Amino acid sequence: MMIGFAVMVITGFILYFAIPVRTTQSIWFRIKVVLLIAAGINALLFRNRMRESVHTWDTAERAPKRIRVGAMLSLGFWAGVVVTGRTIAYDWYDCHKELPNFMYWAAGCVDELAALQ
Amino acid sequence: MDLLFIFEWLDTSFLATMSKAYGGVFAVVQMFHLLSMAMLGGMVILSDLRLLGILMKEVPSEVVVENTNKWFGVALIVLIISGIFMSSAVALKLYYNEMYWAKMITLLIGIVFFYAIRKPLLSHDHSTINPWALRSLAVSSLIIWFTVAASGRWIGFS
Repeated sequence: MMIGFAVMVITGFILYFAIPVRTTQSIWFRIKVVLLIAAGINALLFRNRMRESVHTWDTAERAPKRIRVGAMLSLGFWAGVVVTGRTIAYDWYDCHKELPNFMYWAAGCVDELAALQ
Repeated sequence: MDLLFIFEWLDTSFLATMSKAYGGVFAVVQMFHLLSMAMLGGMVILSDLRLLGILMKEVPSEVVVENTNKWFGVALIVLIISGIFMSSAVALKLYYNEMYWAKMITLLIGIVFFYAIRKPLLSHDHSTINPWALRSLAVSSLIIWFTVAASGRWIGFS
């Protein structure tokens, strides 16, 4: 898993360097980064919980509830990463479009925000 | 055999009406296509790396293969359905696109390889199969599905 993740991080950086400004100002990219961080924190907590329950888990009928919640969150976060990663390519909420002010703020559209002031 | 008629039909079907008119619907279907692709790829990598003895060595390979085969099938169905919908938006363009046909041929090879060769062979006790046969099966499977994904991505560039 860590090998796959490493490949994705490296290729991801290369792809980011190809289109840095637009990507930075993409609301989707920003959500994706937040989800990646959330998935990372969840994985860390998940590992700790797994170590705690290592003695009871084998004999239990179902995995401990905390483990199941962690697994669901993990699936959700990673599915979110896939979806938001794909939507970066769409221009629906690009900065040059007419958007609500909070979207300019959330996407970090510096030029548009400066023009508002 | 000329398959143009299928693409002409698809281009005027209700699927095309929807996929062409609603960009949002197309994007959502595309998301399901990607998520299923992650699942299919995950299942292929998981079972093939197990056959190569790289991961989950403590779990019998028969168990890994049986479980991954099931979810492989689910992912494949979602991929094909969402794929048909997506192709309806640009049916005629795809018909004249070489990479599209490269992908369809590798996909067909992949499906035949999976259901006609890999699955029946692996339904036997793995300890009775020549280890090199298992390894070459796993490597072939990885190469085939990588080619399907890569040629699929290349449709977008060509």
